[in-house]
Amino acid sequence: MLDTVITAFSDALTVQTLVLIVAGVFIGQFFGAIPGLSALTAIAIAVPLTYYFTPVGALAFLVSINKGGTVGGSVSAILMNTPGTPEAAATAFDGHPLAKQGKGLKALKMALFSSVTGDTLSDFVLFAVSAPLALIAIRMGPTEMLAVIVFALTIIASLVGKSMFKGLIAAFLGLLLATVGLDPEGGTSRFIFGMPDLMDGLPISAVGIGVLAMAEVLRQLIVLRGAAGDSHLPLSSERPEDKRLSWAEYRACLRTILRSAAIGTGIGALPGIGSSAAAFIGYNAAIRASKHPETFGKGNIEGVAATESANSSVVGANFIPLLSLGIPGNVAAALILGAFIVHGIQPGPHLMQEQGRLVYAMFAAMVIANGTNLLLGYFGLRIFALAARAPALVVFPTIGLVCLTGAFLTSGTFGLPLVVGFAVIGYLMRALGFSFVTFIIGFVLGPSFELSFRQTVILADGDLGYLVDRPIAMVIFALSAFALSRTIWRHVSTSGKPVTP
Amino acid sequence: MTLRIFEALVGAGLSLLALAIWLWGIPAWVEPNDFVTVAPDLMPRVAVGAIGVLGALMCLHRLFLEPDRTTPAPIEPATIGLALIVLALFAVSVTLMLTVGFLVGGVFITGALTVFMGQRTWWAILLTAVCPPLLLWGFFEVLLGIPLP
Repeated sequence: MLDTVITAFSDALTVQTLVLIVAGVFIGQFFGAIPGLSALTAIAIAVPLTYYFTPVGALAFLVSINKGGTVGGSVSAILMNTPGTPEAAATAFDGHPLAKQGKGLKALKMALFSSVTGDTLSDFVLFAVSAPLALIAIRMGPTEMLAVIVFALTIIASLVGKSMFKGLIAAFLGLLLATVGLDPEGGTSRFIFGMPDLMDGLPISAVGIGVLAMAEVLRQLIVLRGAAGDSHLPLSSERPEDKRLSWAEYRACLRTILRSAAIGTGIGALPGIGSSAAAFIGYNAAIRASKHPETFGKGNIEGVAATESANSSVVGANFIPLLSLGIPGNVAAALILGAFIVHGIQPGPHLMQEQGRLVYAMFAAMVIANGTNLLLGYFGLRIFALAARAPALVVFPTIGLVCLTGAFLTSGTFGLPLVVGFAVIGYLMRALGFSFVTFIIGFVLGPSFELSFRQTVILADGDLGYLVDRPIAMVIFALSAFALSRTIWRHVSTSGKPVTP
Repeated sequence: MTLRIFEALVGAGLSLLALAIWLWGIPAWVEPNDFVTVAPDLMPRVAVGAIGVLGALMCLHRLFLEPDRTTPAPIEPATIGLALIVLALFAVSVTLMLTVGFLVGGVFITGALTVFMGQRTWWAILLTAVCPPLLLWGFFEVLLGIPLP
């Protein structure tokens, strides 16, 4: 065991990986701090860059961006009441009132410490759970994998977004686009329109950059056109007690932080439910547990601790289904799955067995990234506060160009028009309220879904009795049917009320 | 137009599009293969069929079950116009990158988008237009040796 830990840290403590971790955390915090951008945008753009890194460096870089983004999002939420990331929306409830009271720096420090605490705890759960889960998963055949993928898609589609129909349509659109390329069994072409570049299918990085990053840039360019630059509140008043966060204050919030970390970890381990849900549930749990619930929303620092701990603890837990089953927990994990595949690594039950050293090196990189997140966050708060008010008319044109550059790096000249096309799809999805989360996860899971389905059909050889002999798969299929029927029932029973299915 | 009617039209449109792909798109763009266990067009048909059915259900739901009958549809001609302008700028930039080179296309898109965002000071436009493409070009071409178009 000790040997594994030493080897993992020696793999992660190379100069390249350390530089990439620091750069990743910085980029994540920077992108997270700018309203309208998020760690997701940064990850989508960064995936093509990782082609040139070692597998450990590439994964460490992307994971560090993800971790940095959760901290950065709190900066603009607290100082400007404009959450840098969706998951930081609940942070503004108490963070901004604290900033108005001249305690912005104190709130930022609490956000940072609770965020890193929650993230670290969630990482340790990941380290403890993923190997045993993979051991169970390794006994699963294609039928069980098919059942797990169906279950994940059902849960994702029913929980993401306001409308079940739109969530499912987006997921099936993702599945449809995943069929572009050569048929995996016979090698015949599907939707390639005579373009050899499409034979390998649509590149995940081009789809990710287009739908996630460039479409968001497009939306922000239109929304922020002609808007005056926002200014934020000062970091703190002149009183020393407003600038520092004492150990006693942190300790007073520790119970809330741990509760939120448990909530975030539980939510993160389920596919599809993201950091935003965790933040709101953590915040509500803190209100319910408090002796003074009336103080929440008026500048209670416990509110900041609750939301930041919950949303950050989703980051590590999202890797549990990815590393053990090959199913991404959220969009960031889906993009990181794309990076795994680019480096010739297939996440799933066999990952631990075949690439154990890489996985443990990634765990070590996560621990280092948490420390870096704390240090960079602590000493860079003023820089990120400046980033939060960076002028949109410089930021978004530049990010637009970075998106095009990323598309070229990943798919050559073919990637440039492709990314603009997917930006149109992503923009339309946002405008019409279709979930890009289910779309991306459907797109990423599509090939595994089709492969497991084909293998199951071949193994069954036309005999439905084969399925009866796979009790675990049957249970998971039954759970999927139950989840879907429950969602439909909920929709039917509330159809008279103002809820949009 | 209300949001209810707008979404019903979106559902109907998706359903018709799915039907067209099912009837003409898949036979035209998916090569058949009789020597495999699962036909190559099965998965596309499952996805397209599901989109069609869900689109139709969404249309029916919005028409007959949606209780919110007052919220207006999010159609703003000005926003659509602006989106088309930005997309046209990106299309021109991609064409310039592919025909002339990264620097020209890059300077064009950052400069044009800066003007689009409302910047009118010439030196600020020049700075925003020139610096990012030059920095990216220097980083990839000169520092990392990765060729850009």
